[in-house]
Amino acid sequence: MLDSEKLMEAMGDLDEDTVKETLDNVMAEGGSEAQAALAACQKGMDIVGKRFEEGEYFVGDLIYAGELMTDSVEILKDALAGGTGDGQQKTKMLLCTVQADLHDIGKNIVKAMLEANGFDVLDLGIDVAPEKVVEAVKANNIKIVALSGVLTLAIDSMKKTIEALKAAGLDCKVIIGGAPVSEEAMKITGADEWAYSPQKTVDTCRKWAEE
Amino acid sequence: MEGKELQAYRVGLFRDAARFIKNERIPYFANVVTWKVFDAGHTLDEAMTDFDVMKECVVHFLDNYPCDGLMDTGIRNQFNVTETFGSQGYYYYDKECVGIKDHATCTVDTLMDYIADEDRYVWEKVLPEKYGDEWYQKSKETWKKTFKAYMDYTMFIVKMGSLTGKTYGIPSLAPNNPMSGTISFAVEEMVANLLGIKQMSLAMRRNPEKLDEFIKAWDDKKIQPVIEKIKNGKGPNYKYCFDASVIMLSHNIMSPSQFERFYWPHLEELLKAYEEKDMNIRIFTEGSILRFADYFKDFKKGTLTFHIENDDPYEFREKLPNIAIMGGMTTAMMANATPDECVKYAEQLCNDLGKEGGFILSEGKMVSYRNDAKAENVKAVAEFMRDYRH
Repeated sequence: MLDSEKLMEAMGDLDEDTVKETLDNVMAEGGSEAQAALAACQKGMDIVGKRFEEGEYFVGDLIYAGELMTDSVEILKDALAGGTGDGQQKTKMLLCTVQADLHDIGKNIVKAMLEANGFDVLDLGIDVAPEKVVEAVKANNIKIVALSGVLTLAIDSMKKTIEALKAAGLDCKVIIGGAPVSEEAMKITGADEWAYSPQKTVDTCRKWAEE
Repeated sequence: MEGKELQAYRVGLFRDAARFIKNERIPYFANVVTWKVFDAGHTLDEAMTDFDVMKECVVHFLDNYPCDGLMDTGIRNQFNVTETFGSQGYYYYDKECVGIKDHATCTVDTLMDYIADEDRYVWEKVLPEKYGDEWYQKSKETWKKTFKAYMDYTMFIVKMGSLTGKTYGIPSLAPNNPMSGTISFAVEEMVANLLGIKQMSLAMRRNPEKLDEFIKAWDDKKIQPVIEKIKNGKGPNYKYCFDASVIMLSHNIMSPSQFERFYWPHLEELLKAYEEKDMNIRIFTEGSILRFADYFKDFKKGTLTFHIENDDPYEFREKLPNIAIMGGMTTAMMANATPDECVKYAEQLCNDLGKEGGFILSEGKMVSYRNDAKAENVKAVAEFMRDYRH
């Protein structure tokens, strides 16, 4: 029988052996506890985020946590696809690195953290033009957009993307993140919020999803 | 003053600042890399494949922006040699952007093969991956062109060193003889080349013993000879602004416990060797270093100069009053503020942080892209620093 508390702690401790062994056992026992196991892993990722905020973990740990979470979902996927979900609707959101910027490590960390927190993330990749963002927001009725960038060039692209969203009359919240982003960049680009850490992105998007 | 006399004067400015000795001037080190290409009216793809264009860009910068030191004399990011042989490899560039893809030339299981015989590893593993299995069977014409490109590049490096030194009086930052000028630690090589950021992140968790084994082997082969050389040497070399230059990037992915295990013991041993000989070291810290401030707080004042990127210079001075600061000007300010605002801030930094030495004004982030700075701001700050006196 699944010990959710132990699994959550193992994920928080980034104890890969215990996490995978526990999930293998869940599947060996028929997968009926797959959803509970996934929820425990997601709570464990919250611990990872908190430890990052507190300085105990750093970027390499977040990359590792993202891999571990992806592997965990892979182990559970057959049972999850079999209808054992909890029926909760996931909030769909969009994430990309903006035009003229090819960096994806930070974006991928944020994606893993958002997915671990129950978001259905539409990842458009890197070097994404404003019109592509507008098109995807329209087509998927998206209300939350996260724009990532590392270069100073990205600030211009973020501004253009947000202007394009507004010009298209799309009612969505936009958060910007990455190395050159700041309170000032938020004002320049017209974004609703900015974040330097993945945990702040998660917390902001959660708050917006609950509104 | 000009030429060698000016170089010697500027070395003195940097040395005094690093030692917390008051001098009539505070030096300005232009951390300007590829931005000067745009400022000279060219694009990156033009300058990175044509030595004459790159030279023109460097000359344009030095003619227009007075500086005491320059990060890049045009010799970084030249692609002529690799492209002549047939590939950009893991680099990419276009008119506006240049970058390096996260790549791995080793796995955790082949790191020891690499350190055991680097030439063999490159020959058998790296080159086939970059240029294909038959890389050594390329035509005689390709080999000839590649050797010529390599010789041209070597000559370009020499010419640019001579031009910037003799004509503009720009001193060399640190000695460049192998492994005693710019020093690279095992963790830096693993992140930059051997494993890449992602595989290194996973390996620190999954295979820490294998990393320990490689780091020790690297240290024995690459770092210990430098330490021996320092111990048996004569001490400071006043031809250069600093006795050594260390680049730190990989700490940006490490937790405190990972830094303590994989990085600090080796870094500390080297820095202590320099300290004992009363030599000074510039450490270029990409990202932030203040998370690890405690490790550096007991070094003798004047031993270390940190070129800071994202750290606030005032917070840095408060936490590490024993360490000289290089930096201060942010890209946000250089790109968005007015010339007056930039000069006012530069003056404030000089007055607050450099009255008794211990401060070198520079841009924290490498000024690389078109939007990283406005030309009028770079000019205003450079001219202010040239004229500023205590």
